[in-house]
Amino acid sequence: MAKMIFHCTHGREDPERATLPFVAANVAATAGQEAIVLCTIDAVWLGTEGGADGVESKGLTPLKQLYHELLANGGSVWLCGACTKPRGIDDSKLAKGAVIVGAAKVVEEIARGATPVAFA
Amino acid sequence: MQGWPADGGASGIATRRLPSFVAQTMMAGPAAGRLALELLDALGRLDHAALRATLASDVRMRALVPGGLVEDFGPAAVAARFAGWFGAQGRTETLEQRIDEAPGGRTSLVYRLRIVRGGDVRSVEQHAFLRASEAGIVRIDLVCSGFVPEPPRSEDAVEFDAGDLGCGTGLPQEFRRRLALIERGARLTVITSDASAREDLPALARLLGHRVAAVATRADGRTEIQVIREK
Repeated sequence: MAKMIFHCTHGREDPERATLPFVAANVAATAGQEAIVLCTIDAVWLGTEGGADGVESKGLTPLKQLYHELLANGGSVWLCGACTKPRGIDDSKLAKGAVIVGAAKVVEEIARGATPVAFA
Repeated sequence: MQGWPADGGASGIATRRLPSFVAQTMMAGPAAGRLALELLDALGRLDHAALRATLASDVRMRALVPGGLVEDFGPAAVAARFAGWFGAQGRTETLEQRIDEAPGGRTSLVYRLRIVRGGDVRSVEQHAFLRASEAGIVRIDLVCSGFVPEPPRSEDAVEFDAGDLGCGTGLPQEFRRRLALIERGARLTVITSDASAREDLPALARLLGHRVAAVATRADGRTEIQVIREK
């Protein structure tokens, strides 16, 4: 089983770029791989309570649904700590399953063999 | 976190006493010897109120410290000077203390303390000549070595309050620097309010080859991460 980190850098301001990493991560999780969506910059809002509501891109499953499917399939959602802090996002504002991590956590996973994936 | 003043140091909560030094004591008089002992005891505990209680109302202190000569008049000022040097945080260890008679009816007081505070360890030695009456210490003439940094020992529980430093504001770098300050086998305890540090610092510790001893949430809601330096 491989571990993959799907990088998501956009929030609801660009629904397509926000949704595609979750689409790909969900495929990986469905295929029995370890899938992590790493949200940075405005994508961190997607990991907050209600943050994925109404984020939809034509032709793609609504993001909120993908988010919950990813977790149900064993995937993870990580939010960059350097990006959440200036946006005032703390543990109390997180959606279920989201975790705030820093760069060292990501570096450790990659050093252990995780594959970073830029999908949008 | 309290810093180190240019001419002084930190405050202790507990002092490890040496085996009895009373046999070494040649008191210039009962008052002087008793007061010297009380001052040392108060200093070791960093009990500034108790230290002030050893001082007479007309006490005068002259102290030669690395930053220059300082003079203080009255118990409030003298006690405040010691408080400024030693502060109110950390732990002290008494490495040496000695009380002797000195010429001119004075009492010689020598002490060397090791202070562990917030990840920093300092040693200081002060030599003082005291003159006392039944009312208290009336004169202190003191020379100070300055608060000299030294590496922590493995038995030191070194604590680093990182505040809200985070991944984007230098926490990983400061964490690594603090680990490098302690000896192999020593424990570094980091207290942080940063949300990502709970995952990040253990990851960084592992990447650097150190061992994560514990991760816990404190009563104040902040995260405490204990790391043992392994290499």
